[in-house]
Amino acid sequence: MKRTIAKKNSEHSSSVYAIATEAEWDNEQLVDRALAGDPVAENALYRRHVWYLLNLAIRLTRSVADANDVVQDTFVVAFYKLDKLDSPDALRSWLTRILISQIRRSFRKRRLRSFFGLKQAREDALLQMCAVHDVRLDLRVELRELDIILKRTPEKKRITWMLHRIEGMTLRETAQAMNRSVTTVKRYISTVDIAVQSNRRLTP
Amino acid sequence: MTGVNKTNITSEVFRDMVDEQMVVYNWQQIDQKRRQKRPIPFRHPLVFSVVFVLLGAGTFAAYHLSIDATSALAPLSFELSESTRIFSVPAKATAVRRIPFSDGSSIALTPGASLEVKENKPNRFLTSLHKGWVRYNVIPERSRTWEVDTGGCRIIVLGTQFTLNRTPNAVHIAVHRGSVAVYPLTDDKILATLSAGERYTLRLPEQDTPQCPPHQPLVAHTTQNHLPQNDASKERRTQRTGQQASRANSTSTQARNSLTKLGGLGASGAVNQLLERADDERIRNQPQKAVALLERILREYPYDPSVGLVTLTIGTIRLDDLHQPRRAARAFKQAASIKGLPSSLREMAYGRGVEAFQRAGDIASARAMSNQYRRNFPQGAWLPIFERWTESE
Repeated sequence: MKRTIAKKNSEHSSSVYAIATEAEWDNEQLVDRALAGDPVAENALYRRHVWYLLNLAIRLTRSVADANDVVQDTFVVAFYKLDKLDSPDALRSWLTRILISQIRRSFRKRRLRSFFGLKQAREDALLQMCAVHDVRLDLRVELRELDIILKRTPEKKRITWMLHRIEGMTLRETAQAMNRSVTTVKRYISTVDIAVQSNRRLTP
Repeated sequence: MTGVNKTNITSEVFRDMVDEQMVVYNWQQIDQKRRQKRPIPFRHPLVFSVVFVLLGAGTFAAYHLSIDATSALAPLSFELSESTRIFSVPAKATAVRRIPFSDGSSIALTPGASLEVKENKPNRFLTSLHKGWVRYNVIPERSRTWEVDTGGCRIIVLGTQFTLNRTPNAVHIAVHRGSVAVYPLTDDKILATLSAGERYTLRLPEQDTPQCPPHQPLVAHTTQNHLPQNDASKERRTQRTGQQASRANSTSTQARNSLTKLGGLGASGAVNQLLERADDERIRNQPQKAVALLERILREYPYDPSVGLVTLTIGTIRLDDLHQPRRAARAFKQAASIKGLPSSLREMAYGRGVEAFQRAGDIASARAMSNQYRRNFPQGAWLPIFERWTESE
């Protein structure tokens, strides 16, 4: 970012033009320019999607440090494979797919670390901690219960459930993100639904 | 969005956890990673995994099989050199005696305490506590195990600071920082793992009382007392009070008082730790253990602000995980009656309480509780559910 700004300062007029227009570029233009090696476009592409991806990663990994790592790796992979992107309109779902695979990789790393007794990243972003500050207290308690239920759930089912039930993705989008069939995704979601509902059946 | 168990949670419930600084930092990191020409961290995952597993297994084996490889560490040195093995402080002494060690660790002996260094090797430091109150302050060193033989149990130090009180018929352990593991003398089956804020008492049969070593005329040095001045003066004050009591009790009382001055236990910290442990037990599908820990909070910290939440959680576990609706109903009823409980939690306690009574088949109590709820929350969210139940009855 700093490098880009420095470069832009040296060629002032063109940089002003770049800043003025980058917000107006659609995904296709952004991708084309990023593929051509334009750092402004790369940064714009990053800024357009990073907030969504970081928030998603924080909720899925339950750790801010892990989420940062995962998002960094996601963009590194995304820029490397940008030429393989079929449809620039589907950029966000493509990035989400990469993010999910990186998250699953980080979970594998976590398991390996715990096997060797190495230090784990602190889980400092449980659902109850991510809740807005003025959320009702009973809801916060329920989020805590949900955290416990989800922690017991296998990771692939948990991620699938969270993408559909919390992030509001459709079944098709969830299936794409998880690289699974819609039927499998439905099965995963219903398994977790049963676990959640059997624990929290009646709260209005 | 009315409740989590409606299954769909909109993301409005969650706040934005990302800030501009994080975004800028991540971009710098991405830039750096791309410049390192390492776009995909693992190009050949299988090869990397195999190498990593082999290296890990090698390290694991080396660590566990060659304990003597820690010989780079020197044995601990402490005051009066290696020839002194037994440290004791006469009951009439006026101050705590502190034994500093070369690695920064220390042991504080209160008047009347007697301790013996039994083994001082690079990888093991074993002391035997014969009697009295002693505080250990251990600087963690991965390769050296601190062990205490109390005559009734062995204590393996996993953390930093704890207190022992050896009386003729019991050993009292209190952990202030870090953690310790308590083992019986005879086998390796762990008795308890104690974390900061936790206490443990092991009752000893009378015949097991060990003989105290011959008393050494080592008077406690006030000059070597590294305690802050106010602690030392409080210690002396405690000493004066103790002289009036019987000899058997005085040492223990003095010591307990002086050690309390050295640093008490934070109640809320201990409660938080117990809550976290209870959550862990629930995650491990051990609801019974979780309930035991939560009940311990109610027993030991009855005035803690989180008591309402704890009681509510006990009810929830009993109802959902242990399927004990009658006991759950009792817990919910208790939670609902706690003064100062936030109204949303009280509402939940009533709602779940009615459910628990109904599941237990106690319709009269369920109806009474639902009426109570209706009086307190005329517009309550649970009312439609109660009406549905009434209709089904």
